[in-house]
Amino acid sequence: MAGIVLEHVRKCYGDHEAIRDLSLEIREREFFVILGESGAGKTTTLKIIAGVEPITSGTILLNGQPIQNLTPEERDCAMVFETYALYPHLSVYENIAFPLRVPGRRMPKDQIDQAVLRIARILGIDPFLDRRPAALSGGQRQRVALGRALVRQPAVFLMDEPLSHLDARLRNEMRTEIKTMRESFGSTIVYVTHDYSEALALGDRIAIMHRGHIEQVGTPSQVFRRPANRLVAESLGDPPMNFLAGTITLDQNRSVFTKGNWQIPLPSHPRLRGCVGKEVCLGLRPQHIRLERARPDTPFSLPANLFVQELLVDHAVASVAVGDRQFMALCEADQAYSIDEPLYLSWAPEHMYLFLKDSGETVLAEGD
Amino acid sequence: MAEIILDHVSKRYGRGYGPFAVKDLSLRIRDKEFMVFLGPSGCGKTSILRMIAGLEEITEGKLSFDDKPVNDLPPQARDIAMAFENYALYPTLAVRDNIAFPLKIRHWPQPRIDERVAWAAKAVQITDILHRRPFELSGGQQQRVSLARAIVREPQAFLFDEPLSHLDMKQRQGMRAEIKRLYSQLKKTMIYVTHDQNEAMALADRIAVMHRAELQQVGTPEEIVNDPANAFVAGFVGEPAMNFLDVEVRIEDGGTAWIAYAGCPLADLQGTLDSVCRQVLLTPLQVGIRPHRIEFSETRIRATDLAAEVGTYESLGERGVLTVRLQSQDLKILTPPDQTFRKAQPLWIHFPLEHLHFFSKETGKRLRLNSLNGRRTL
Repeated sequence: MAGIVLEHVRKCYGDHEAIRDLSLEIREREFFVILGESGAGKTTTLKIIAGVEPITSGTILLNGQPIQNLTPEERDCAMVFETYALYPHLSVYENIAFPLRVPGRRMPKDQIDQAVLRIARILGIDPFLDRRPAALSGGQRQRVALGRALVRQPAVFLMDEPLSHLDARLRNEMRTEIKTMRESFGSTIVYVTHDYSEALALGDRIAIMHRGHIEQVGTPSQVFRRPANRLVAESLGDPPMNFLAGTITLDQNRSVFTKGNWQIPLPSHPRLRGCVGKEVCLGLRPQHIRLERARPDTPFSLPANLFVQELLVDHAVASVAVGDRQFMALCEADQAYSIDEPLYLSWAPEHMYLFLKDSGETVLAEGD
Repeated sequence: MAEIILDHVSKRYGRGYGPFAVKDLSLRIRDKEFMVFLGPSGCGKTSILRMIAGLEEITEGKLSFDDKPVNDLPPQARDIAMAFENYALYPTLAVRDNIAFPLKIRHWPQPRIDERVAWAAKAVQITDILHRRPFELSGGQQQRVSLARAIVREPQAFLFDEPLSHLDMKQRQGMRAEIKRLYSQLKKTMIYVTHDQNEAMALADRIAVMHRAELQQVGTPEEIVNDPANAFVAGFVGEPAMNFLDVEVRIEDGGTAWIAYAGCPLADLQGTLDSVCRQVLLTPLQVGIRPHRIEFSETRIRATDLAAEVGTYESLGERGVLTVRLQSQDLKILTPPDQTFRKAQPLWIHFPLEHLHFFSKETGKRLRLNSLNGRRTL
């Protein structure tokens, strides 16, 4: 019904190339997330699909039909923006019903009634249908706005950072809300965000975008466990992955990661063979690092000094100096270290990542 | 300055007749303490900071530094630095001159200025960029320069008003660690306002939780988490938030007591309850439990396990958040990542008694039960 295909799409604003040669296939009924920092081209991609922005070159297919020359109205896409004002003088019911009453798309009254009630129930706002927006909390208003967008049941739903201006608590609640709601909707959803946890929680597949270019497309577990490159690895995780630059050398015919006097053995993997002598970055996620006072009995370890330790509700975050780099490690809340205390980091070999320094390309990922 | 003492301090805007921005606040901020005011927007935390700085008049009550009342002391006479108050750096001045600025306008002698600038630059690790101009620096470096400018004067106390709120996640984490480390070196009183519980937890010696102009609780981060004074504090700190359930205590003729949720036993109050406890527990109650403390299984293990069904499961890379439906309400449970659940799959939920917090349904106050004491309830 509504698969979207972008083929070699380019979008330029004057001299600036916002999207370069973008090819992408979004499957029918898929929840597709585009993740990236601000300026990555995510919103532009969404606007291109909606038809709000014309493309410079390339093809866009909706359900197999080229749509790049259609107007936004002809595309059957609904767009939810970051900011969406509700009509203050209309009740919640009227706000949600609004898109069903626009000229040319007018629905019979009992059908409107049905559609509004259905949406309101899914979003849990059916008790407030008579109220005005002013009498609602921030989260309730957010749901009304979502309801207004969803009521129309378009073939494609485009959502641009719908949660970004909410506080952390509400954002997490609404994330669960969207996930729940998603299960009762058949639309294809393209969702843009800079928040990696939204992307992992919601996406059937995620595209990680950087400077107008897609770095990787995959399921949440694929992009998290087996990132295509360092950029992808860095953009998923809080605190983010730690990196240490070094080279791959040979020691008695086995490849090792070498940084100054430190040597860490690497698993024998065919991809490593061509990499001897190359500059690389070792990558370790904060939750995979153990901190110990005594030198651990494993070659997968590095000496460090505690920079500072921060206690959080159910765990603690330790910043440690490893040579001239700063690493973050998660540890138990009841483990207290003092500033500048000498420590050892260690990790299980299967949790080691390795990236080429120049291209950022992944050499080793989790489980290799 | 040794102590900053707020004695029944209130602040009302609108010439003292408006609603309370701060209501009857009494608090001693100790010498060299890192005190964080934590609360949602509009709770009064910034007003407190501005009153301490002298930027806002005090409507009622007394503010003193040690035993010296300072209600009427002008800001510049208070020997306090409002860090990040003016975050913007002077674009035409080199980093070195930006940092030296607060000393220059106070006509410090040049050798002393050089010494202090070198010290401040070293403290925030920017010694190698002193000759640069602000526009040549990254956002994080600019933040460090402004931090150096704040500490260069070495006042008695530092005030921070949401200094990290406009940084992105990565920078925020870096600066948070930087401030924490700086504090351990400076050993000066720090008063810090934020709505971010992680910042409060990570930085504070003690946290003062504010809500609707009133102080809810003041305590160490551990106390705030393990021993919350009321349901607001318990619900505000922790992400996802603590789960709350309306329950009642049932005591049978034989003396066995249990907690019931919607008529079903949720936990056995093992052992004896003293009479005070019994009295307290017979009022309308709420229990709270943090998402990482709930246990679940596919088969029923105990008589007190409650039947629930899976709503949604969000796998977030490092961990997972499971939402289950229990009767008519949702519970959040923290799990490892990459689990598989079927929609509407039945699960049995266990609430370990030692991790339950009891609250009065009417007042929201936490009920401390002697016979349940001595258990760690993080």
